[in-house]
Amino acid sequence: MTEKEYNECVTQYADNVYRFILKNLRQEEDARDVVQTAFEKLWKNRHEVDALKSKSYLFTVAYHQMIDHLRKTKRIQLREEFREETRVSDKPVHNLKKVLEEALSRLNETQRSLVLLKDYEGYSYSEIGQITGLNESQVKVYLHRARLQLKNYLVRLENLI
Amino acid sequence: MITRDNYEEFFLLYVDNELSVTDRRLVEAFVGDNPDLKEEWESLLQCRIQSDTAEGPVFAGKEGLMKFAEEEEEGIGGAGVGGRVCPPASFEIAGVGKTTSDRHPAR
Repeated sequence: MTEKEYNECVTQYADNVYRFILKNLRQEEDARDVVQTAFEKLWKNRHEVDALKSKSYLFTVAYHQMIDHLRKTKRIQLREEFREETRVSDKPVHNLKKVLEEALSRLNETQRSLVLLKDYEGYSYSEIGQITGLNESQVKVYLHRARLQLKNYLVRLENLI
Repeated sequence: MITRDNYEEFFLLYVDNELSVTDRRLVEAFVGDNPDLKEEWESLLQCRIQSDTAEGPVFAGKEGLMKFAEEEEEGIGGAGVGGRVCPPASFEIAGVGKTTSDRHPAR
């Protein structure tokens, strides 16, 4: 890919990658670091990366970087999840978008990533497999489980209201 | 063939947009023929996460990620792109790219 194509990638995809990572990490600074690292790698390897595959390349690098980061901060993450659990049960939310956000935050990082890659970016099972390193059947099974968890959370909450 | 035994997988594939147009029509017809499953179907359709592109967060300072190879090579004393190994240096170089962008109004 050329320098011009690289800079077009920045304009076109920086926000997409940032949103995807931010939804998982929840910390803006950490998400920015991951995005910067992904673009650094793309720049360094630009001669080997086909411009048509640059978006998947960015998502792939960012995804693995994010998983590393989450593993390192796992203990903190678990504490946050516990706090959220308490908060949500105290104050049920009625707006569908907010309920889905809450439900999404309860999925594990793999499931959440699969849902976001599918719903935000519209990637196919096969493309998601290439990004995450999972095979296509795993993507399908994990994604379906995640979707059912989202649905069950939604239905459970509707029954409570 | 969609049946009452395997419909859940078809519903999920539909939500994931992994079905052909023909299969999507079959699922829609199946829901029409089985009104007791409509609620379950609609709940699953609601589980698609909408991208908040319009009001969602953006990566502020994208120009800081942009690169200009010619300036980069000059900026590191002619060592060339391959000679650079330290990531922080590249962010400084990105800053150089930003200041020189005036010379490239098309970018």
